[in-house]
Amino acid sequence: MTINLKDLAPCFQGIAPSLIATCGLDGEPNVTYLSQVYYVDESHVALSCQFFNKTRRNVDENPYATVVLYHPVTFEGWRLCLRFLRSEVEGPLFDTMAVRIQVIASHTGMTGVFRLLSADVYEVISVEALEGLLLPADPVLDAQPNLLPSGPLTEIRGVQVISERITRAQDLDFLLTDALTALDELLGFSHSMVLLLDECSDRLVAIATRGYGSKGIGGEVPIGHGLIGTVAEHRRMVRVAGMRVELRYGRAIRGRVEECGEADRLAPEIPLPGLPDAQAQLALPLLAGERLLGVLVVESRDPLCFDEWDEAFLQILGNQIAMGIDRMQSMDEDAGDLDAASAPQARTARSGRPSSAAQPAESFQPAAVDQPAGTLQPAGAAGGAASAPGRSTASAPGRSVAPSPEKAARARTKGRARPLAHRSFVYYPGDESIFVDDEYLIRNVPAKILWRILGQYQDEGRTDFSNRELRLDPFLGLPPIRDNLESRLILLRKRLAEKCPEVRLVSRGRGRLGLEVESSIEMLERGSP
Amino acid sequence: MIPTDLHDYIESGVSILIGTRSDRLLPECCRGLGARVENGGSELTVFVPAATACHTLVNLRANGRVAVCFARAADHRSVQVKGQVLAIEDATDEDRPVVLRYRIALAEAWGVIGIPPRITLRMTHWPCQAIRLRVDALFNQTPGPGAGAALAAPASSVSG
Repeated sequence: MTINLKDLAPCFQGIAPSLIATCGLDGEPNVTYLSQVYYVDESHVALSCQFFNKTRRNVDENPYATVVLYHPVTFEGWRLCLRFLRSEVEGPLFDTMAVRIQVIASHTGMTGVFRLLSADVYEVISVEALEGLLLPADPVLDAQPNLLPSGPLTEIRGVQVISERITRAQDLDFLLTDALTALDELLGFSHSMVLLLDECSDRLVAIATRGYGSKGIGGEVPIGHGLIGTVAEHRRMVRVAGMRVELRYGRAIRGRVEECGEADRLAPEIPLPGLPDAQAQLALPLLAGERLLGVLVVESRDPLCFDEWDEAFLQILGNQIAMGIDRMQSMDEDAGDLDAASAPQARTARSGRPSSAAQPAESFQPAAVDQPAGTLQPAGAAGGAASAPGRSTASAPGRSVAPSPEKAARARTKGRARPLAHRSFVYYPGDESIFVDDEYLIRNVPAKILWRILGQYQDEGRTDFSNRELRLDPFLGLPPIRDNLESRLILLRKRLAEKCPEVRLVSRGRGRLGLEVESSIEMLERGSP
Repeated sequence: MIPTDLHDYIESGVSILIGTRSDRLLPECCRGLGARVENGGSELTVFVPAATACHTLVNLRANGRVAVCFARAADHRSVQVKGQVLAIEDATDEDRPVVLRYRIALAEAWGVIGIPPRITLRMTHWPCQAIRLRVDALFNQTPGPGAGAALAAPASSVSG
């Protein structure tokens, strides 16, 4: 029976290590494990060359190799006779393999130490099943679990529904929340997140998550770091199955680097995003033309959860989501332009404010110091926000107001946990962070937005605000174009909902937002600006 | 010569990969299911299931050149023995406990990295052939810098 390589797809996911035997011209055989065999086409496979090792030296002399592949679930085996053809050091195959290795190198702190030297392409001369490798299966003990029905019809229907939701979404928050919900409910991607790029800081910030509870919002990833940062840097989808296997291999190399006295070349390990025990991850860039908007990530504890088909239709969905984000951002900015056009004085003030030219654009770094274990890099670590409560150099007197009786009554009728009667907000101008009741809340532009809004509520009793006035406010220092204001407001709303539900920012139509307060609040400013 | 401190490692539940080649230098590989250090480390016996080692046995009977890689699943620690076959015989009833112990130890070791023991234990393990070989050289094969360095061989030798 002819065996098609395509039918062995699970063996090419890098979950079960393969064996390779080679032989030099001196007649000495060599045998070792391979972390992954890459499927190229029906008659070719590729092996990664990270070190110019004995295997590679042997095939340079004698091009023949034998590889044994194993099915990662059933452990059935196949024997491939190969002939080495060429080493590729550039091109699509090399790039695909290189970015995957870069992800592992980054997560294990070995960027630049552990990298792809070449993609070695082999012709597949023959494929045969390893007969007799396994004892007969026990019909009960070895029965495979029934898989959920899936396939093109299910997924095309999912794509259709998600596409409709994206098209109908009226704001960015609904768009992303609906898209991730549909990925879960219709297609079974129960852990997903969208991170958007802050072009000012070259960081990605988690703006929507599904499957992590309320955690994870605001988590940050620098471009080039780990799976998500690497996907953003290369603008290329990456799928990693058997993450645990890959990381173990990376850590083995890291251990050898340390033993060889070269530990100073290593960086700290980067925790996996999201699930600390994820086995399969797929991340893809969200692009509008050549412009990177963010990254969509799905992950699973099942190492075989994602395959090429998932890549294909998630790419379609990713493009839909990216177009939706781009549309929302354009609409948001257009609305700002219309507002400004109807208020020429304000427009002049905005374009003419000294800060827009002389002051660097504010970075979009809503921190997440309290996200899922082993997840995105907490931005607070760099900015020192987490240590802020220790400071006690209060420089401004606090301001305090109590909620109106109507608001207090409304709070009582909500039917949820009784709100706290008092909330104390402390702003640290030094790192532009806000703590609420000594717990970190948010920092940078979203923090300044909140501070401005709370201040006007305290001083003037205002509860209605417009995007336009925020854009014009020199205290916030928003960049003149692509200010990501809507994203920053979403982040602020979600952080408030998680940390201080008595204070809410609600949408009051396009370009307008309202403040709802159900407790007395106190505002303090500490530390030197 | 296999150093004493590696004897336990080689006889534990590490993966055993066996590499051979034909007289036309076509390479071949299969899994071993147990090993025993002999003669203080100058010789080694590895057990291969008869059902899956036919190419390997043909090669070994023809030229006797063999490479045996021992790799630990949990951390990829690996060594490779290069040698020359001294004898190939049917494994005996006295050998059988070595194979059975190895099978259990491998299932435990692979269980640590997420491979269900049920799958490991399904590997055909008997009858076996016992391949006795002379140890000519030993190399470090743990991935990373230093892979291929000789552990117990002429300093100029490199493998891995």
